[in-house]
Amino acid sequence: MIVRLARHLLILLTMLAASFYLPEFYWQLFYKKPIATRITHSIIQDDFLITRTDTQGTTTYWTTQGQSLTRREYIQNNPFLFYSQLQRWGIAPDSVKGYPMRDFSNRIHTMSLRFDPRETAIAQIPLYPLLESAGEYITLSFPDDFFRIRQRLEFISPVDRSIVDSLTIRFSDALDAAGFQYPAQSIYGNPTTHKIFDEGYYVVDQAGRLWHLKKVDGKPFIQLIELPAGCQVQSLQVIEHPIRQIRAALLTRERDYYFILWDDYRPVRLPLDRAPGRPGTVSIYLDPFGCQLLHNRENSTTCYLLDRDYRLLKSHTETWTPRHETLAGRVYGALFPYSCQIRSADDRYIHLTLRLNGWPALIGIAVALLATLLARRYYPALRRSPIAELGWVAVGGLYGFIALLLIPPDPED
Amino acid sequence: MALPENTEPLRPLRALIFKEWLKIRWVLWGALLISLGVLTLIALEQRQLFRNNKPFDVWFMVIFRRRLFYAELRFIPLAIGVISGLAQFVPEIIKKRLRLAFHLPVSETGLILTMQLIGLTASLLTSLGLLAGLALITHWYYPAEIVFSAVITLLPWLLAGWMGYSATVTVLIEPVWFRRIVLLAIYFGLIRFFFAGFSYGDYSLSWGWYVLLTLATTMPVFLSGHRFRRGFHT
Repeated sequence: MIVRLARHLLILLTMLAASFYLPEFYWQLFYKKPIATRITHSIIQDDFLITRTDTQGTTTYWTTQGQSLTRREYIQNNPFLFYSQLQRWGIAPDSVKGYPMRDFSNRIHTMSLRFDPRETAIAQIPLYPLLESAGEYITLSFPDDFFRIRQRLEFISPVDRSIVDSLTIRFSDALDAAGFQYPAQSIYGNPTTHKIFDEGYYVVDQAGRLWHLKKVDGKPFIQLIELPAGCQVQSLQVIEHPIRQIRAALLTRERDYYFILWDDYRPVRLPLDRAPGRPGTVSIYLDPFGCQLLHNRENSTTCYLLDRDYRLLKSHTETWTPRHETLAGRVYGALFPYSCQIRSADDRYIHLTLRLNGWPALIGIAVALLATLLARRYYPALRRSPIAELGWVAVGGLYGFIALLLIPPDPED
Repeated sequence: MALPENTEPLRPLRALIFKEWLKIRWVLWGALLISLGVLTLIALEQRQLFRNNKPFDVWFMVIFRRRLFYAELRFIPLAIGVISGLAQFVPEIIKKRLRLAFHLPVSETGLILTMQLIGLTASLLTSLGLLAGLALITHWYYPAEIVFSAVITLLPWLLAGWMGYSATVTVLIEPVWFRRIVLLAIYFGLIRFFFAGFSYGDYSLSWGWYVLLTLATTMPVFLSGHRFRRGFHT
């Protein structure tokens, strides 16, 4: 009995290993990376411009009408994005659509950053340094302690691991008074001194409410951010940029993207597509005329042009054939009923999950069943296998077939 | 009802346990020595780091630069598991001595289970020693959050040690070379899963599945043992 159980477990383990490695080998052989597509909005042409970079690194530039541009033309049509380059060529404009460019600086008047929700979906040690946000010096410096939020906000000294009572009491009392519910669910911030100023942390409390916490002159600054009812933060990126228009970009569990505005902490929902699939990444670009959002997803990229109040003006989408709809993808779907995956495109953890490949896998399963029946004719060891063992092929397709071939029953079993 | 101490059926088991102990005791002492050595090295490195740097910076490096100060331990449990398996079963397959053990008045399953349990217990003890040692060193310099993260990060490596032991035993006592190669490929493929992470806490959402996987891989040894006893050649 135990020997039979051992054999079936071995078959199961073989199928598990095969379902990880065979799809890996398959894609190593047949995967072709799609052409990388990027869209920007040209203030000069008042239209979207598209760049396509192939796998060899060759970039071409296009208008939405399919007209080809040179690299120089592309740069000239994006004066905010490439202002330094235009200066180098000596053709920087004095003004763009009435906006004076004399004192223009990319570092101050534009902002470019990428928000990838996966970056925060990673194991974290919940200890954070709380920098002084209104320090005496121009450069930022780290404090002497870390904070954590358990049943109160505690500051802990790395020197002797003792609790720094004065700060702990001061900050915990302030959080208590504000109505913060312990412990914190998640804490987001940029714990670095390589930035121009510090805006502390954004903390989700036990009730799911979002708080802004920072240290100003050694005292706590706490601000509750009123999110729309039912909104639960899934990921948040703190933005500390001299343009000071947006405090944070966040993704909710309902898959909505929001900006938290600088002046009044008002959340503004971004008009991004909520189509099913992975949330993707959002590149944010602010210039004096408004905002561009480039939403990159599995098989599409969309550029949204927003005005200065973050209202949608227009958008343009470029799509490409998703991997599973290519010829290689269709063969893959039929050949492999599922694949074992240890990495996820949604986070940075290691998993052990099976991902089903859908109905086309039935074709592969049928072929594998036929192959097993044929193999039973010509492979004596497999003939000993009871017909019920075809069940392994029925659930595992190719993997089950391989496992039965490799681990056939022994003569007297 | 519990059997009295001198009951007849317990004697071969005691003898078996003693024989297995004789085979792996040097490996165990060696494993203990190596573990102690590496733990001492880690402790000295930490001492040096804290003496020559601001403690804040060291904590920061661990928390935000995600530096695994215990990365040297990564393959040690696996090595201990494999070497324990080799020490325990290479003497048994030379001239097929394991067949003699099958003549003991103990069932085939009981015999293999006992032998495997001894190896797994040895592997578990060294793993627990490593875990306790690392927790102690980490606790000396860091807060509970970092101790917890170190322990949870070490877990899959310890499980890999168990799987390494099971893999070695299963492959060694399998009598047919082709099947040995197949088993080796399967176990190698599965063991790689335990080393896919490069940062702390990578397995914290899935370690339960990895425990199940490790337990599942302890079973095929019964199939190899059965085939060995029956003397299969194909």
